[in-house]
Amino acid sequence: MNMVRAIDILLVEDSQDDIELTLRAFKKNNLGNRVHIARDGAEALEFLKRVERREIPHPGLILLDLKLPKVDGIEVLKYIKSKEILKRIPVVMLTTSKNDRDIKTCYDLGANSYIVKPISFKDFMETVKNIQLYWIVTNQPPVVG
Amino acid sequence: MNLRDLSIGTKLILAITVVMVGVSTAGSIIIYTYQKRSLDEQILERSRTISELLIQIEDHKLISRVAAEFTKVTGYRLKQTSLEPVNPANAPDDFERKIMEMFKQKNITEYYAVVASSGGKRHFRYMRALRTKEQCISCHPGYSIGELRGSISVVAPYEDIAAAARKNLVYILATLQILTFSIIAVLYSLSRKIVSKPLKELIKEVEGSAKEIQRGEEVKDISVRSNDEIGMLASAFNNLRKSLSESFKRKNEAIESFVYSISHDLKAPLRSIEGFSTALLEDYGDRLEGEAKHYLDRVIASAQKMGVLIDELLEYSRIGRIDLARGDVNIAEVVALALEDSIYEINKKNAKIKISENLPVIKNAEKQRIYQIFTNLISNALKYNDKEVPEIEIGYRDEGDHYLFYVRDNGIGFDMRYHDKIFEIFQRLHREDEYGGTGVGLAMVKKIVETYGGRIWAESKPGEGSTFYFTLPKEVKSG
Repeated sequence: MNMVRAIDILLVEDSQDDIELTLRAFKKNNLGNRVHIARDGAEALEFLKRVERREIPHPGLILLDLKLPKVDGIEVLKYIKSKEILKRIPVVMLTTSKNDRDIKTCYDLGANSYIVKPISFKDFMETVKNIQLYWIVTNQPPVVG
Repeated sequence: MNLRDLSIGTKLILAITVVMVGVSTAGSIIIYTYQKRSLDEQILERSRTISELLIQIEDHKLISRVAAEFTKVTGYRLKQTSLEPVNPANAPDDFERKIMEMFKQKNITEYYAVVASSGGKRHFRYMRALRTKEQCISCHPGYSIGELRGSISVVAPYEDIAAAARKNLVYILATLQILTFSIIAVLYSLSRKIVSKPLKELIKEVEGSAKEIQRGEEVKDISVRSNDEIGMLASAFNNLRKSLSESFKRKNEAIESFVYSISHDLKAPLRSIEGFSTALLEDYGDRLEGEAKHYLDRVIASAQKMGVLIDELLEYSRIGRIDLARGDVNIAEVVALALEDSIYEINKKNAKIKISENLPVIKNAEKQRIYQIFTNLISNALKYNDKEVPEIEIGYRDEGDHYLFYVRDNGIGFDMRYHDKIFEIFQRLHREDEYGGTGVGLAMVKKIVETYGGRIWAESKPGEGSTFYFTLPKEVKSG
């Protein structure tokens, strides 16, 4: 197994419940990643611009909800994939939308994964665990330069 | 019989018949009256002419000869008459006397009328007054000018003419009615060809597509055979059907997105309830006293059950509304999948499963739905079973255009009084702590079977097991 990389995660999510449950799942997996939280699209863009200005470290994974207040998840995704510094960060869409058009749009825009939030708590915990294990442990990202 | 019950063709023909018969009758009467009047005028003209002629002749002998000749030719009797006749043969009859009295009183020259004689026969009678003229004075001094000397009386047979006119009337009437009825016959066959037949064909097609719509089949457009009102009606019907089906599709999509978002919005808080209760139990469980832990378990169990319930309702609402992937569904394969689902129960209860060989294939079916039928029936057969060795038998029978399937068990059975109740959604025969469940399963099975045009029923006796029967067409119609 690969080494656990001490990377930061950006969680873009407007539901306080989902944030807390996701954080709890992360904590249970005990991988020790730092998690940044953006409560809407505008906050996410704000964060990403600071990353571009190298004021904060580059996140190694972005979990992005689609339906967000102020700026939509699609807009955030477009922004990430259009910026040289950000475009190689793996973006995992984590949303309630099963809509086929949403899924296609996200992949067209370069999303690295699309996951429909499981509705049951158990499945949700399992999914978050799988995301973390796969994208942080298994997956090999390019070296940030 | 009510006029409204008649077909359009019959109504048209009835209306045309009434009008035509009326018009032809009125026409006949008008022609008859006109003919009769011209005949009358002809007699009058003849009478007047001969009278005028006789007056002009001065030789009395010649008068008699001309009169005799005229009578021979025409059959009209001519007579000179006077109120004081010298010759008794010239004595007037009652009519002549009466008219001459009138001539005497008033200064009129002629009079005519149709008169019935004592024998009952009618005659056209014409009277021409003879008055003293200037030239008469030379032979008959003592006469004064203008004094009535007598009359010429013409008696024309009238009966023959009237009979001829009546006969004519009959001919005219008959001809016109024959004409009327032949026109009606032509119109009738035309109306059948132009109106009734295309209308009936249209009605047949419309009823056909109504049936197709009812059976959920794909509906073809009704053929538009003409550009007249019937053709327009056919196109109007096609447009109506299209817009109805579009609006139905839009409504269905709206329902689907509504149901989807409702189920999502309802379940998101459930995830939180379950999640945070679980977190509480995991993180603080050892600090909870007495019933507290048990209460938290109940909260979690209820949240989970509500999640299942919402899923099942969502699924129930989609049956027949959302078309899943269709194809040939191998029942043997589906039964194996359904048994796989219950493998834990089967092993735990040590159940014996018997499956008919050569289970058939249903064409154009949704595998997921067929699977739902079997998995529900099999899990019920296991669940409601307290025998040492539960036995489940799955079989089928070929019944022509459809198959009859059955799932038989040796379980607790039920009272046939509740037969209809068990297929209703949320209806249960047992308390939840006896046999768990949401009460959606059998309702869902029934809805699937009926959406496919099949029937479902059960036979059971308490304590002796149940058999659930259902039919499925060999080839399901696309919806």
